[in-house]
Amino acid sequence: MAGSSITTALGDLGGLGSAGLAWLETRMVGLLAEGSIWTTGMPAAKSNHAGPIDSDYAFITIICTIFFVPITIALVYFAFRYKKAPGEKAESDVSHNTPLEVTWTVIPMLIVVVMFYIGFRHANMMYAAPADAYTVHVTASQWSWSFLHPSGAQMGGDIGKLSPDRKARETTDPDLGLHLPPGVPIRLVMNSTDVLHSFYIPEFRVKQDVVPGKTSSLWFTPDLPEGDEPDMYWLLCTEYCGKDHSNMLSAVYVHPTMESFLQWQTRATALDPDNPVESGAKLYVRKGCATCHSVAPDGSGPNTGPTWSGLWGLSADEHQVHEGSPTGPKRGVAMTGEAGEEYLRESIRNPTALWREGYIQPMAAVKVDDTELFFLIEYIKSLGKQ
Amino acid sequence: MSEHESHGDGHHAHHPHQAHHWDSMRQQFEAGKLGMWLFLATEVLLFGGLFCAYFIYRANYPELYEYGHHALDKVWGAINTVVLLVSSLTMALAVRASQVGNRKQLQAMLAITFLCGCGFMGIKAVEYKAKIDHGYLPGKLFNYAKTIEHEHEGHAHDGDHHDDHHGDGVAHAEGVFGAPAVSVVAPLEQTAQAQPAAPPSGLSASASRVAGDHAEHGHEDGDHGGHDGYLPVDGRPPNIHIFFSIYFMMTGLHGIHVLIGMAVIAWLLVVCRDGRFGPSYFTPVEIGGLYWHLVDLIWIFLFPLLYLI
Amino acid sequence: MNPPETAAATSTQVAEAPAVPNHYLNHSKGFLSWALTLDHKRIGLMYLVGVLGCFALGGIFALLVRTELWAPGDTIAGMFASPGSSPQEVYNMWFTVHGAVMVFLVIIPGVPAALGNFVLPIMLGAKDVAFPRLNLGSFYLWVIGALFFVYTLFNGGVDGGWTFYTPYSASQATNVIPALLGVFILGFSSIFTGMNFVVTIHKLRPPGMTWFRMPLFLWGSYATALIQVLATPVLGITLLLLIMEKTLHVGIFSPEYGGDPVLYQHFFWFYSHPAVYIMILPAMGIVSELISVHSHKRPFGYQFIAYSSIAIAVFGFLVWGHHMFTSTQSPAMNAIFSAITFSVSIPSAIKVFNWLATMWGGSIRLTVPMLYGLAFIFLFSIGGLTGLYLGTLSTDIHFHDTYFVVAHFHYVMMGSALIGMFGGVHHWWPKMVGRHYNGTLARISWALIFVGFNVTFFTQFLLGSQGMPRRYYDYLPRYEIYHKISTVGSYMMAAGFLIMAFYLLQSIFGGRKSPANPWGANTLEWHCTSPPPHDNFATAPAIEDCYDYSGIDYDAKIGGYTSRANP
Repeated sequence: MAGSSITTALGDLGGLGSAGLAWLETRMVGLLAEGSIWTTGMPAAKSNHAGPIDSDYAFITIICTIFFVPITIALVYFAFRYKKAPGEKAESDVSHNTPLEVTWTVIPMLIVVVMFYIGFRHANMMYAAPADAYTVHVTASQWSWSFLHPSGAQMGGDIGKLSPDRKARETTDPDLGLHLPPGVPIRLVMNSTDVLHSFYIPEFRVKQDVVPGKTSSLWFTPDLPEGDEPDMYWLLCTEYCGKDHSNMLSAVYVHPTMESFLQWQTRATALDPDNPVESGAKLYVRKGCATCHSVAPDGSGPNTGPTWSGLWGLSADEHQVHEGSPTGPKRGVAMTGEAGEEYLRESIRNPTALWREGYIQPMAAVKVDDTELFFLIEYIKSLGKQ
Repeated sequence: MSEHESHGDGHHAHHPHQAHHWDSMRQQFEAGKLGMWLFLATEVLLFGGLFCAYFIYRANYPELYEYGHHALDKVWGAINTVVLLVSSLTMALAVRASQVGNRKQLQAMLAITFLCGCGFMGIKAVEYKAKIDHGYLPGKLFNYAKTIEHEHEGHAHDGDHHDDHHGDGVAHAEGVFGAPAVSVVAPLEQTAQAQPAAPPSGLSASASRVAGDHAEHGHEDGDHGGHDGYLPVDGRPPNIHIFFSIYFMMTGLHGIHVLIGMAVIAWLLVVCRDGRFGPSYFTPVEIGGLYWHLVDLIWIFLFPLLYLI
Repeated sequence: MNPPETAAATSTQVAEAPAVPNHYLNHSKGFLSWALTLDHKRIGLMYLVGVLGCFALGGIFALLVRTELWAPGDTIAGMFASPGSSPQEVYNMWFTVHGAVMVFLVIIPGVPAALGNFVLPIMLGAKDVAFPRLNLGSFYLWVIGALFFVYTLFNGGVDGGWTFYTPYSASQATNVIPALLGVFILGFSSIFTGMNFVVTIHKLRPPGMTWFRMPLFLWGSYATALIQVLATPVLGITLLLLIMEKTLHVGIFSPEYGGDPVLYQHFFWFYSHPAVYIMILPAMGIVSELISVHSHKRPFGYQFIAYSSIAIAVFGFLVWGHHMFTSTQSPAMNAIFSAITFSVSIPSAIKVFNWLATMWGGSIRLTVPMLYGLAFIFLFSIGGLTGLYLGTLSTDIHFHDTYFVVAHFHYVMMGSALIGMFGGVHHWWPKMVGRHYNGTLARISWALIFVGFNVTFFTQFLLGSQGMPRRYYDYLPRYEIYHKISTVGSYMMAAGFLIMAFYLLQSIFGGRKSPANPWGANTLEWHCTSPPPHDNFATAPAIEDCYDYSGIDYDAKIGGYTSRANP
């Protein structure tokens, strides 16, 4: 009997507690609506996770203000109110006041319990994706993103470039990057081919490390664009990953209508068999080759990998290719033969088998079918004619 | 040091080994002992990191341990455990001898402890040599070709010695005291086809090229790989080099500690000749003993974890 | 107790020449008398010189980083790039060197090894630390560790960030191994210092110095020393494992060889989170002294402050997982680490309230050390409160690895730990060198550092909440205005530190002579002459209540205070 009444009492207490928290939450949502003074500093809120995170942010900011302002006032006030000439004795010789000290121990303790709870609840909402989510496979490599859609459409990221007046970062091609359909939950399944990366879109308030050897995922539902054009955001890498960490960006588009998204999907999958060079040029950007290999005749542009310009037909002496990978166990023998079909085929499908002198960054294998491989090689061939 | 001279003289007569900032020999001794215990705590934590790695990888890849520990020689391991236990006893007796000021006994006990240390390192060297010869080495040094070759040798030996001497499948190799040395690989019938072992698997496609295109063998369950002292390469779990990495890092770090302990004991042997240790001053022997016991204790954990389970 | 001057004279061999009082600085002469000294005060001073030198080095790299971030794209790094490297590689090495030097060579040894060595034994009433030779050994280990860093600098630098996360650190070709060996050696230096302090406090407390009579700085140092002893070995083995992974591919941290990169993060933060408390706890101890001494009032709630130091040290071991909320750690682990993390905030809050209550009703002198104490409370409040955003699971997802984190830990590491250390340097400087620095210049420098610091780093909170990731060489133009303000702030701080270097050096040669007790303190180090005699105390000092200021009177003639009980 006694035991059960205690449990009931505890249950009542728990009920009271959660009722109290629910009350607090409704007050908070009212107080902390988007754009309120307490969310100052946060970027635009553009996904379903932004609301809860911003309300937690506002809650913590209010608590911090409640503590920080009186502390600072007391600090400055005491420093001048009790400033005295040398040798004057202190006005008080109080050494402690246990009730007061217990009070300022217990009150912060209760506050942080609430703080932990709201953060815990809102974070829990972010772990499991809804079952009907649209899933995109994301591959992170040094230093590019690649997105594979259920339709088979694959797109490299768009790192954009700084405008000449250095006032804006401009996208290079509106078809590149992560394109998302409107109004559905998006689930990203992510893998890394080399080192740690982290997927971050500030406006969506999502961040998840991409760990080599593991699969990580995250989900969000982006807000619908207000106009007829897709909304554009920047995806940033937030885990230090080496040389071009700060250039590991990609444009992210949320389409306003399903129609607009499907149009992109058609463009993204279309290749013209009658025009292999042009198709190869498309694949060059879609498959992410453009992140590391330049195609400009003067060799300008990215230089992490060898330039494709003039690559076709280089003799063995000229391009100095070795077996094995530069960081792997076998630093090997110089290969004979020129940079021909066989060499390119091997280097795209199995890039760590051969490496070229002077380029230490190993490349991740690129998944291409035979047709795509043909287009790419045709494209490289076309760049070789000088 | 001039610091010592300038204050010692002002005070009452001190023990020659009492530093100027202590009030008494007892205070100095207790501080030394507390300091040593703290140092031992740091040593435990240093090894703790390795034990932690051991258990995490044991949880992640239990098959590595089940498979790999058969390559280690339980007999030599057990002998080494006894050697270290004996040395701990003699070290304790040495501390006792220094406390009562029995210089002869102190020297004898320290000498026996030192010799036990030598014996331990000698046996360790024999074990390491066998591992090196057969290619069971950590990380990238792990020699797949040699382990396969070694398996074939084991096959050849099988007819000669296997039935005659060691029904449990431990083949013969030469040890310093003529005791059975290294438990080498003895093959199973199935391994006659001699498939290559699985190399490190991971992200790098290049690694799998080292041993050809057989990385898939890692998926085969090594149901015959984990008993009777056999180390067949067929069915060997992938990344077996991790087990030998952990083995060499743990026993290697422990070996370095044994060597340091032996150096301390050798130093004690040298300095104790003047009879400086007695009831009023035996701190160095005491804390040297504490260190030696710790080294011993760590082995007591290493032996079952690596050799037996 | 004897008058301090007499006590010093009787213990020395030059008592017949009282015109030049014998103290630890002139006790013996020559290079070897310093290089082989066993005197904790000389070792502390050598550490201080080394730490401040490394602070200048780390500061130069900070200014390079800030200058590069003046505008998007290449600003100055391109000028430093050699033909084989790119500007972003140069920048990446700058922030790696800045972080590693500041953490491992400056802040961790800063207060415990430099100030702690000088002050701790005298404050305790001991003649030296428990193991003087080990103490000198620690110093030389520090020097060797520093030389490893200098080697990496002249050998092409090191990349990877001060955290050296795997697998990037295990796969890249810069000087990671020499840097790791340097940190490994510095770790042992730190362990030996910690052991020395724990044993000193346990075994060298003179009769009468009970645990709860110890000055609060000693409580802070004791808690720090415990962490140094218990956490650093784990860093040591982690770095050894990483070196093994790099050289032998043992398959522990690199997925390529079967390892787990997140395991490295667990190992690393198991040390490095407690290491945060190695940095902040002794600074909190200093501030407890500064506030009490310069308010001439006993610390309010002495026992709460003392216990909170120990509580922070204990909780500090249990929260490392909060660095990994987004690194594929399981939700349950996230929740547990978040909950424990909040528990660390409580003892920190207690300290702030107690410091304020100490000032209430005191007799406050706004001396330079007191100004640093006040700055500490202000900056630590911001640093501590912004930690709440990062301990909360939901908001941390947004802030993790952005400039918000950078700003938070600069408020705690620099705004608190280093400002506390500089407060200590200004507090004990007259004791160390026997001379006063120029007060006006010191106030100007303080103002520049305080304002410059807030301009630099408060801006970075805004940058971080806007989503600017850390360790970025280039950035989206929308962040530019904040970066510009932040860079201006860093130049203000640099100006402040240059002035500080000037007046501290100038004081050694031309400063006004300091009396034994210039601040009116009552802890034991102020009862001996300035600078202290070689042996600290000729006769065992009388241990009294070190926070009783009733018997301390100001004497305008000597410009300092005298003790009524010990005139």
